[in-house]
Amino acid sequence: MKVREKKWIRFRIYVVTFFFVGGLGIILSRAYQLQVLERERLTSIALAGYRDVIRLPSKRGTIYDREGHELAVSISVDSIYARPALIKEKLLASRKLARTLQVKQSKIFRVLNSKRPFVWLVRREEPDKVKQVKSLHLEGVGFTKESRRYYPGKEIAAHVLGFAGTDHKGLEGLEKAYDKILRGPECRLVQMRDALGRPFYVSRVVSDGRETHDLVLTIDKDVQYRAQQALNAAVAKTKSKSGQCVIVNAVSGEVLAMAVSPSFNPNVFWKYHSYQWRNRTITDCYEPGSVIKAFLLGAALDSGTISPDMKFYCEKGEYRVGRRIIHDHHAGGYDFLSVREIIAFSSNIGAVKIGEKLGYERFYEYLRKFGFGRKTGIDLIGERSGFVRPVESAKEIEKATICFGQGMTATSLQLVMAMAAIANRGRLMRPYLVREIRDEEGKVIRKTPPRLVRRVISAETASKVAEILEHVVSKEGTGSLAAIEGYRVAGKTGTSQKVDPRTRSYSNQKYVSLFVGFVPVDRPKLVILVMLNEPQGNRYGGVVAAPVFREVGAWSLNHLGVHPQLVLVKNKEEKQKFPSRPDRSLESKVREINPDFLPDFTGQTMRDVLREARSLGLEVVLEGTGLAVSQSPKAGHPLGKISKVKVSFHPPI
Amino acid sequence: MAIDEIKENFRYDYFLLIPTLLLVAFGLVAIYSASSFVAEHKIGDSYYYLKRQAMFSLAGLCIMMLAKNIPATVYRKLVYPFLLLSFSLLIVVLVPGVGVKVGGASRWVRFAGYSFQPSELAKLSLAMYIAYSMAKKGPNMSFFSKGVFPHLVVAGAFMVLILLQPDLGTVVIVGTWLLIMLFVGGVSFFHLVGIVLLSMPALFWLIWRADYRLKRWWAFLNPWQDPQGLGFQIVNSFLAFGSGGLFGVGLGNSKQKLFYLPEPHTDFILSIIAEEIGFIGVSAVVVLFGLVVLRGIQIALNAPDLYSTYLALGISTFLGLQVLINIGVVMGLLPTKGLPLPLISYGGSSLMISLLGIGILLNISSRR
Repeated sequence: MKVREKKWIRFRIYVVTFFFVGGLGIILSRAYQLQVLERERLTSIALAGYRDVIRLPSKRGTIYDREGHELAVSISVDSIYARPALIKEKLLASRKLARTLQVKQSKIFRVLNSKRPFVWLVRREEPDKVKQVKSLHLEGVGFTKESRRYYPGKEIAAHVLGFAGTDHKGLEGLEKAYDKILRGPECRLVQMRDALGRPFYVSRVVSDGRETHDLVLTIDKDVQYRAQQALNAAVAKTKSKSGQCVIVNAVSGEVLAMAVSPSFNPNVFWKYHSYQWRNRTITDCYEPGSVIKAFLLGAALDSGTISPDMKFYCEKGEYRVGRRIIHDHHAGGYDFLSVREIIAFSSNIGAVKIGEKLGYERFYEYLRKFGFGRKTGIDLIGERSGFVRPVESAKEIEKATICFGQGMTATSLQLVMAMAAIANRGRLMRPYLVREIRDEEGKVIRKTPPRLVRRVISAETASKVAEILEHVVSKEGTGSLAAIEGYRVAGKTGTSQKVDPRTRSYSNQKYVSLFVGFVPVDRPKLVILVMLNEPQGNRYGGVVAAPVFREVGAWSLNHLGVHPQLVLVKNKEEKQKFPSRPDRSLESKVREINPDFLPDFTGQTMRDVLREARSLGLEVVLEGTGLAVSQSPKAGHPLGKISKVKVSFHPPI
Repeated sequence: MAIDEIKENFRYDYFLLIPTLLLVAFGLVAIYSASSFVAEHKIGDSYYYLKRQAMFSLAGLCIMMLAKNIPATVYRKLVYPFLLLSFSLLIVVLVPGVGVKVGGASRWVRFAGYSFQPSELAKLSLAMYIAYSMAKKGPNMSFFSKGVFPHLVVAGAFMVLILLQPDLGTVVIVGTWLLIMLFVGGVSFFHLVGIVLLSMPALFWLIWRADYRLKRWWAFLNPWQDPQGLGFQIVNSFLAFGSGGLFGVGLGNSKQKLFYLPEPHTDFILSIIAEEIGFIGVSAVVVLFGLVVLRGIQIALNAPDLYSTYLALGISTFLGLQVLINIGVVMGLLPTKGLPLPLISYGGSSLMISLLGIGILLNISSRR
């Protein structure tokens, strides 16, 4: 009997066939789903499974100081890794390794039992330990060269440099800010491995084409070291909590030194708290105190509100503004003081009077122009902008207290740059730390030019302010201890009470002591800020911070070859005879010099002679004081034949 | 007469034969590609599995030709001897020392240096018996006592023995297949539903009892939860499918076979095919199987007698069921079963029994 005749069997077979074909359909659509629709997702997971991207350590660029000293270098050291799959006796191996590397055995044992094909045992180990491990001849333990960041100066400029972490990533400071430039090429090789961890394909090294660049800083390692030493000593002596010292080139805005005390050693940065890494000169905002009077003076003079000899009544030490009484530090107060004296004695009441005459609106405008309340734009990360109360929200008392630096905050860098603007004939510069970026062959590929931010006050006003600030450093002034023998120094002291975070009022114990100044006055080279946080005992900026200024300043001037100004400001008369020459500056009055013959020096000051002779590569022998009267050899002598010139000076009649 | 007979002997149903041969050939290539690394690693001879499978294929093709040319009456006579033989083999495999234990299950008997899997033979002999018995019962199939019960007892005995190995996957396949056969044979729908409902608790209990079965279930439901552990196999199968894409990474270029995918040349061979020749390759395999099975069903419809119909259908559905389940498993549609892909996966028993089945189909096809 054939099945043809049995219709119901045929029907049931068709049902089975239908389900079978349906099953095939499901399978095909599932295959389509996996292989076409989800392809990318699955492929990427699969690749991640058997593809290792091995990043080869690239050497970070070197950081040099302005003289070419190495501040941060990369050196090659050994790292030890293991391939757990190849280690048979894991317990034994971990015991041996633990003993040699002096780490816990359990830790190593755990690492060796990892399922991963490749694990680090220790990164960047000391050479002798690496040697010991090598002598163990353990199977599955390997060595590879990795570069390690090394800071030869240890604490020197640590806060400027920052540091790079284990994976060559810049984490702080310039290392972070210039990470992309320093990091250099990222070389990778792709390794394919089977499930047993054995590589079966290794690609060639692929570099992303970047180059390693070196940085040349504006920092002078010696000045930095000196500043740091002096600061550390002052912090220790005054039992301060911390201290800061910033030195900038008055004209260009180059930062020569940026010291924070206490410092840290970036070679072992992990041993410090993160707050110790902070470059406080740009991150810590504090009330600048009386230092602000220098800028008040600048604003008032520039706007023509006052003149240097104008006198103000200083209320005998007590002046009521609203509900508050403003005091002067001087016992008994002052009655009438000239503007000069107000600044030199740092009279709060006098400053408030000047401020009242100027008006807060204008003062605010000038403070902003001096750069307060906004970032200086230095090439670091994490800079804060400080705070100046806007006109609309300022109360009467605040408008008054801000004249002596209460009720506003600023960073050290802002203060030093604002002071530099006064020194630099009213021009505010952008501070910078990186002078040059060089390629691997040492060729300069980028040079940072000095950049003017804006003109704050006129050159004329600036020189008037400088002259008045010079009085601060005179015998009568509050900053007399900042005086450097042989140089004309101008500056301003500051002592501000800190706000106690608990009581939210000014503390009687916690002070910030400041001195900000520049030298030499008529031809400013250096602008130096010294700040001591919470000194114990005497807390006046003029007593605590000014000596640090003197020490660092004197040493730096000598180091930088800025010769003493032999024309000393000994008495008024002499000074009248030799008025400071504010109009002479870098760009004004360029003497015509024929480069082939000895120029005529007569009539010039000693400093000008020195500068000019040095620019010609001549050694100068100086004789006498005053202005040049004669020279040997004579002017017009061919330069090629001489290396030395003798110049005699005589004080003019 | 002799010439006619010889001619007859070589007249094949090419609609069945060609897809079958293609699948076997395909299998050989896939096995070599999938196993060479593992073979090199384990045995030191990358051709090891290929050589053996080639030998099985040759033997299988001989068996197929033989089966095709045996007079039809022999199959009727062989029903009970076959049944008895496979039944005793299923018992023998359980005897410690005779049955070869691999991974906790004794599924093989060793014979002259080769191991043989009795459950493969059991499937075929059961197909022969059920077809024979159902054809004999004829219209009585709708009675429970005559149409259902005897078949349930015989198949049940087989299933219990296979379960003791233990091999739940094969049991489930046999059970499902039995239901299909009974359905076609005219067993009433209510009886079938009843059987399913009654066997469900047993199935759940079996899964619940054995830890590894539960884990397979878990891995089936959440393959991505533990891709390095329980889901390892299925996840790597997914990755193989995904990596293959539309056209595959190229023959021999599979990366999942580099020890990522366990047993790449047996149960999960389709994953390697999917990776190496992509969706196109998978479709080709699926279509070829479709052709084989559908042709088998057509042979059943055109068979000269009811026994041949049932036998052809039994063999075709067994084949089709195994294909669906194996592919369903590697694609994550079904929980993992230890089940080869017929005609393609490495394994002598499966290949030779499958080819024997194809031989019987060819035999039936030549007699319509």
